[in-house]
Amino acid sequence: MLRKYLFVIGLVLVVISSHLAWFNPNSIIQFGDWQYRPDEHAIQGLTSWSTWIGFEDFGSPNPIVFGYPLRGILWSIVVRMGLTYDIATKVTLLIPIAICGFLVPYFVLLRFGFGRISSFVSALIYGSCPYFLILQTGHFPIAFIYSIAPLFFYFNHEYLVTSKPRYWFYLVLLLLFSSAYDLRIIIIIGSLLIFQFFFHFIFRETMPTLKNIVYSFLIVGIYLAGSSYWAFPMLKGLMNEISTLTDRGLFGDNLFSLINAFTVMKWNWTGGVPDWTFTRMPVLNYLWVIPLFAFSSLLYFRRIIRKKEYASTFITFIFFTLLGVFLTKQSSVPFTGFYIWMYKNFPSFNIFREASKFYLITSLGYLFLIAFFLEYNMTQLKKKWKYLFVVMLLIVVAFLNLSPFLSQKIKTTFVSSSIPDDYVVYNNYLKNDKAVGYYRTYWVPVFERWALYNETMPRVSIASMNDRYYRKVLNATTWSSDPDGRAEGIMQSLSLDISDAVIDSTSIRYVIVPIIDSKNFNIDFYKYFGEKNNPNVRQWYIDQLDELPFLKRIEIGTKDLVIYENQNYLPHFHSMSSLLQYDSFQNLDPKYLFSLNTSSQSFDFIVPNEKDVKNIPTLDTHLMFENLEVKSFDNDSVSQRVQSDGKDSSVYIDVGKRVIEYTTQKNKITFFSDSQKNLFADSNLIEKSSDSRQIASVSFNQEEKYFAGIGSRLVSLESSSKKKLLDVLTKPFNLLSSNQSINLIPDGSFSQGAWQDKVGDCNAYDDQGLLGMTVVQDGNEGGNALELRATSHIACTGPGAQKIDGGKKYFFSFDYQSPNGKQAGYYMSFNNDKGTVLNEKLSVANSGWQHFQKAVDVPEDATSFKLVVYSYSLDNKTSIVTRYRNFAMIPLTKVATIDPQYKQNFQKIELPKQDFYNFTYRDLNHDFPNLIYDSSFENGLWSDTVGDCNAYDNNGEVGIALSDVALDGSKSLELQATRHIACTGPGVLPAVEDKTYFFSFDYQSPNGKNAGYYLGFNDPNHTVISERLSINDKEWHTFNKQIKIPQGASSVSLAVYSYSVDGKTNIITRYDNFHFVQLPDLENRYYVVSDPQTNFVDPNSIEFDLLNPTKKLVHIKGATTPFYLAMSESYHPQWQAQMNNDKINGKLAGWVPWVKPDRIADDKHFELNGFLNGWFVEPAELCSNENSACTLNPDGSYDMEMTIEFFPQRWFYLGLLISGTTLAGCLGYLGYDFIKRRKNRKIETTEIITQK
Amino acid sequence: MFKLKDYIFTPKDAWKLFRKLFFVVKKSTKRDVVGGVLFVVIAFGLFHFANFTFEGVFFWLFFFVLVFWNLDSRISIGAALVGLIIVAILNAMSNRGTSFVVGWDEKVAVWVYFFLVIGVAKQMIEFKMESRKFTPSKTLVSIKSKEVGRRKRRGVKEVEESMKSIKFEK
Repeated sequence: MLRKYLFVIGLVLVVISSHLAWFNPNSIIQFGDWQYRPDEHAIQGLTSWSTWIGFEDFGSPNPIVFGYPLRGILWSIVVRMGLTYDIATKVTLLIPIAICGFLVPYFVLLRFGFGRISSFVSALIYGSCPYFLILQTGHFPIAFIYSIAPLFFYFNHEYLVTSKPRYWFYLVLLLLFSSAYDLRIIIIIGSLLIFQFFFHFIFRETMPTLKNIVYSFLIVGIYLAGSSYWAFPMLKGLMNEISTLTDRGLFGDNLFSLINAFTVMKWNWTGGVPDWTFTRMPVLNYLWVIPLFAFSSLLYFRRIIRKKEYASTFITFIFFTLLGVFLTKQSSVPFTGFYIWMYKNFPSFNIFREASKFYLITSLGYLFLIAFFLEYNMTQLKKKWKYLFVVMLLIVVAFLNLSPFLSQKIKTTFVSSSIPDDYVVYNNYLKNDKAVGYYRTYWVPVFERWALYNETMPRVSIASMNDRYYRKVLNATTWSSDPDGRAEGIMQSLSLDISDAVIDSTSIRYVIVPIIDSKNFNIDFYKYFGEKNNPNVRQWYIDQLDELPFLKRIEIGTKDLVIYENQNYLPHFHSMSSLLQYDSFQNLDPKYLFSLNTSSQSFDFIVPNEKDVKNIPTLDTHLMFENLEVKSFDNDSVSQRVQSDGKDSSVYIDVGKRVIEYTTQKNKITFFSDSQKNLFADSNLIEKSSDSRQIASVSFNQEEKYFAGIGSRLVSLESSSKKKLLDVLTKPFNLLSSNQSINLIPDGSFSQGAWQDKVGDCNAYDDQGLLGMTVVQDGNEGGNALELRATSHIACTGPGAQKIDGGKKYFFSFDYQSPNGKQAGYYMSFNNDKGTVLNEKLSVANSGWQHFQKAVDVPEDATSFKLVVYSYSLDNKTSIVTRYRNFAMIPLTKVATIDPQYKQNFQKIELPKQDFYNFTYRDLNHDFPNLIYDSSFENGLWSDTVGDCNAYDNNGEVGIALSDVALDGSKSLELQATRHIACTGPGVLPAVEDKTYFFSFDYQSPNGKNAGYYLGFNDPNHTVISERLSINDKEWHTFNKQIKIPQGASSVSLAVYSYSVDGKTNIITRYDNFHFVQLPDLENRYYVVSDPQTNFVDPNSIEFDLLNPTKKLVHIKGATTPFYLAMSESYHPQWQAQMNNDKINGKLAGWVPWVKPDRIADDKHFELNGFLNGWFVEPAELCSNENSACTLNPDGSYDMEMTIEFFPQRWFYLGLLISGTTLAGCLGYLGYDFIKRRKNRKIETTEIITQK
Repeated sequence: MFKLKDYIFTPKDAWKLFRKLFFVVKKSTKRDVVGGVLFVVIAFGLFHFANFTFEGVFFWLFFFVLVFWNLDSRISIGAALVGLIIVAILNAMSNRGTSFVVGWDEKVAVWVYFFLVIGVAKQMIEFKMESRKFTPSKTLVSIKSKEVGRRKRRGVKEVEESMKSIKFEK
């Protein structure tokens, strides 16, 4: 008897000793993805986990609605019973995982006919598999299915062998139950069960009977019916959310390999504390024992298949093992393109964006193969000690895997956590908070798991919000792939002019900076939000928030937790009497400021993107010249058509933005600011001129040269008695002078010859450099010039180290020219401690001389500098000649600071009523040249050699060609990439800091999915703008963008790409018609506002009741005119604003999906502020026909009852009914079957006794 | 006793090898000749028309040889097991930073996988051939199925037991 249970006792001891904390009723288990949830949240599970998740962020459809039975029902029932969330998860997840992980495989193997020792050892290996152990550090739902996985195959096998339907009923019940844990794993299991079904008949060499076929369809039907509760709402409204999840692309190719696949070792398993740096850890040596013994079972193939009942099982699990190994290598060798192909083409495979879930298949395979090996090894080995050696070796491997769990060194979810004191104080504060209704808590940068939240107090992480909402709305560069660069982006969304309004409209009441949870074994999340650049980044966040005027820091008794209150937050539902409409989300901050200053309307806007919002009266605000196209440009003008649909329209011109001019007369430089006369409406000049006014006058020395220092740019001021144009300036600039007699660069005109005897090689990667240097006479102007020649490598020279005064400003200038090169360049270094370097590549636009000048701020501690100039080789064939002359490094003296006296002042000009207006900006001083030479490739390629912009190895297959497929003209640029990324570009383009440029090109691909560009600026921050543009057809598309050049930049490098896909297909991406055009100062200068002249009034009051996250009751009182209703929940087209009458209430009408409610039409439901819900409510129309949801007041106003409902929830209710009925039916059948069998057994027993 | 000629390839060894090969060729059947020709044709085709790598051609030819000459599947399985041991050693060396083995563990793992797939495919063929070899006559099958129908699972075992004593048609 003891021997019978010896192995079970052994396994139970292993389970308990390795999972001690899980069996402790008072422990709090949390780590990584497995979060602690407050009981106040868990108790709301019945409503929180249905079709709409309302407790987090701004609300979102629930893509894991299949988890409702577990999270929604089981957990909330346990918590409602007075127990805690932790107990609920222990009962439903943790303890079953721990026990089933070892005992289920053991008993299943016994039932398959294996011996106790084989079953024990195999179960031990299965339960201690590194993949399973890693799952237990946070991914419990997957771990649960892993732990019971052998049971699915047992039930299937039993049915196939005995044809008793009850086994398939057990199976389908188990599948339905497990679907609530993780649907993806059930899809894997389901596919394997189908293989098992077919393999059974193929390798038993029998045909399935009619009964088998009927039952298989019945079982599939039962499973589908049982899945109605998640399938219905998903099909009827949540498919977009599923697509969002499945279209994210593959993840972590570098984390998978065939080596890991063989050893079932997930990338982060270390044999101790798991690694979370997304690096593939080295495979532990002892793990090779498992595949070695598992595959050794194949040596006994002939012996095993002699037993027919084993043959199909053995072959099935061999197949599983090979399939599992093949899938879990993801995109590594062999057949590197297979996984991505499956991901893109095989239905539902795209739910596996990384391959780790397939480890389950391999593990199942190994379970049976090892059992087979041990079983046949026992009969094969003549000496018992050899067998025992194998058994012991496998047991040792299992215990080596389990050792960090037994010793609790693994920490993570295997030690109990405790709630930090500050969060206890915070949670108590919120619980005792008397505030009625609904508000959000906002966490900078991310929320902490210990804090209280629930359906009426959702938590929001600024980091995820920036990524999901604000990036679109605020056009903020808030989410950097580089964690070190995230902090400033995160704060950007709070520090804009518009931020206060955004925070108010989203019902955010508290803003909290979480503490670093050093008490528990949690990851310091600040390292993902700027801690590397700033070790004290948390304090930086606090300092930034302290500066925000709309937040007030409050003290609630916490030690380190910092809490701010936003007292002006808006309720969950509020009304508006007007609504702005913008053309796009671009420049939202200045548009908001403009609207605020000119119309004093409340902030709430829509942007008509895909949805038609013509039926909603809006105050249309167009920022002119915001969306330019190539056809907008003429020789000296740029035009835009603005649609106004016959509304009363006005133009607003910022007349404060004036042009700065100067004269040099009577030993004085005088600066003037003058109005501009550039804007025409339908060919009529509408920008009125005003008087020129003097803004400054400064004494002038004829001996010196003068400059305007605008940012880091130097503009030479010429002597002129007539007014000379400087620029349109809004910020103060410096007037600088230089004494031309002091030049720190010796012989800058090369009258004595070259600076050095020999040319330098500044890219001597080998000894094959072909370089040259001479001083030549510059024929036209008589002086000398330095000529550098480079066929290969980079030719360079310089005057050597020269003395300089630290802390001073210098005027640095030279001329350069090249007959056949595309760029010149210089390098200037200082001998200060930091080793400051200035380094620029300069664009060579033509073969004439070009002038370069720049103000250089010499570091305080520098005493000398070195200058080097270059000639860059191109193709190792042509000798590239680059010439330089007239070098100057002259001290600059600040003479004065000139203030242009800019003050934003919008002047309103009324326009005649028209359907549309044609506006033209004409500037005779501006001729809009395209700075990209040969932009349509009619004269050839930019470069005959293609670049490899992802040369991670030497096997790049990239190409470049001149294509005959062109949108305009006859040629286009064709980039080809089979492996790596092909790239090319026109080299360096000139750019002026703070100026806006229009950038445009056409692109097309016959077989690729992306085009892409890169703009790299030479500013001190090395700003980069790059995008991948998706391609969904074979047509030409045009990309247009306005780009503001960053401070300190004087040039920009452009590159375009062709991206390889699978390492085999030659991806062709074509480009044509590039434009890079400097724009005049149009930024935030001209607006057109079209007003429908409606006089809407807000209702007297709006109150609301939150029935559940998918249904809210809104009570509107005293509505006299139409108005706009806002709900601070993220927009979804399936939200409906219904009249709360009999049509949606009642025993059936309250939940069935085929009701026809009186509701606001879909074209009056809009995306408010880019991400919230808004409706245009017309009381008179909605309350017509004596609607019972309305009450007409004596003053003519209406009181209205509205229900705001997320409609897919009704499909969820219907599905839940069908699923529940199916479940009851299955249980009923099994109960009936059980009673029948019991009765039969009794009769058989009676017969035997009678016979005796 | 040490003899140098035991350690170098002498003309005498070459003659012995030639004689051995000649003996094999002389003993070969028509099937062997066809197999040899097919071997060369497949190799040529895969190299020149399908642009297979040397690795790919080798494994296809290996599979062909296993199937055509009906060699034991355990040759492939054995190669895979030896390969697994080598992968484990290479991987351990690679993890310790032995630079000259870096990347080889992955390469050998791929070969192991191919050997396994080929071995298992050959085992399936062996399974089918073995089943065909012992397929009972139609009369016996009908008796068996009747028995199965009547006695269900227990019956099958009895029939199988009784069938062991019956001589099957080849």
